[in-house]
Amino acid sequence: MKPSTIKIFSALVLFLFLDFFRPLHFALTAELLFIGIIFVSLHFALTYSLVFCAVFGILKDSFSSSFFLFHTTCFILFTVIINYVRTQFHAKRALKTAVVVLSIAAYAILNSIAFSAFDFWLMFSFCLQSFLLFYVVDYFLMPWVRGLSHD
Amino acid sequence: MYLPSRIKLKYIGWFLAVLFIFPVFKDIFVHLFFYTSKTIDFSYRTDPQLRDLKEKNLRLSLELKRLQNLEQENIKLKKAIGIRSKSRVSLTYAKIIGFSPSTWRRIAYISAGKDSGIVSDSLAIDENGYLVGKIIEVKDDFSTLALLHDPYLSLPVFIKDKGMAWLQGSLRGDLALRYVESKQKAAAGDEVSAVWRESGFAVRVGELKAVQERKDDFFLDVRLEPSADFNSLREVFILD
Repeated sequence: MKPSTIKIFSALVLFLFLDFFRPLHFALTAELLFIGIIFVSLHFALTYSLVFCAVFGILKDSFSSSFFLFHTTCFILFTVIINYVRTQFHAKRALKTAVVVLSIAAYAILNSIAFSAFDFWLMFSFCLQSFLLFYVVDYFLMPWVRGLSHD
Repeated sequence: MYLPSRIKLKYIGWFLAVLFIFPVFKDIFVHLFFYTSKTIDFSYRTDPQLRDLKEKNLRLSLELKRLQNLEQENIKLKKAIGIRSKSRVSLTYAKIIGFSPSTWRRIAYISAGKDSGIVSDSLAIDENGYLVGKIIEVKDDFSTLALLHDPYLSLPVFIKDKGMAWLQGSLRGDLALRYVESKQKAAAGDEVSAVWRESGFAVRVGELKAVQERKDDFFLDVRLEPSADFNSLREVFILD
């Protein structure tokens, strides 16, 4: 197994634990595992990210009392779409921001529909926190996974 | 005419951005400053003697509440409708071991299950005796607790001495009370309680925050502010 695979795997495990233990209770509305999944989908090959989506989707579904494999299906769907968009368009930076924003918004809407729980402020808070956290994760995780430094 | 320079505009832009973003992160800042110290699990918190004392203290305060309620209630009426009264309520201590990783559910997993005698639909209270939620699933060694803010939680409650209502969980802020009629004369500030089975224990849920009439609706729009503090919740007591 490649070192980058182990690093990504351990990062996603950490995100799942943080989502489960919620050290900030419900003050943090963003889902770290979902941010990690977007990160993997944006930076790694489709087959590679699909495996991560399936494994962590099932793990998340087993903890979250959602209906049958909701998160697994969501993660796989997002990965396929993100990978398709990545291969079709090449305006890297703008594309990345657009993909992240749209994925987060779509995930918030899907969850609201799935759980029949609409709350505008929660959705807004989720989108903004997730968007900012994604860039924090991207900034720190990418060099670590690739074995680079910011200097 | 005074025109702001580009630099000033930049600062105004930053200021507006901070103003816009701050409310979203306000809860996190509040949690970091005020609740982190409470949620850190020091060893003394799990000390069995302290836990027993907490349990005894809670049981006594519940007993006191029950006696106060009984004083107010019409005993004859109670006898007439044949409500059995248990002499004391039993409490089971449980630690919160985790939460649902989904933002759209407010579910906690607790360390007591079938092996501790927990049954489905039991009520969970915090160390102050305030209702925090209801058990929705029981496994051998852990249980699933739907907190008051879970959108799937629903529970019959009493508004002071003004009759029943139906509590509906909502993802944040105030909770909604359904099926409250105007003839019940519910008002802001009224205490809302849930009664635990036949024991007669009234567990405080919170107090009414706003009562408003709706157009073209038979029932009132009632908002309830829960008494329990969910930001530092790490242990619960289950009524059985």
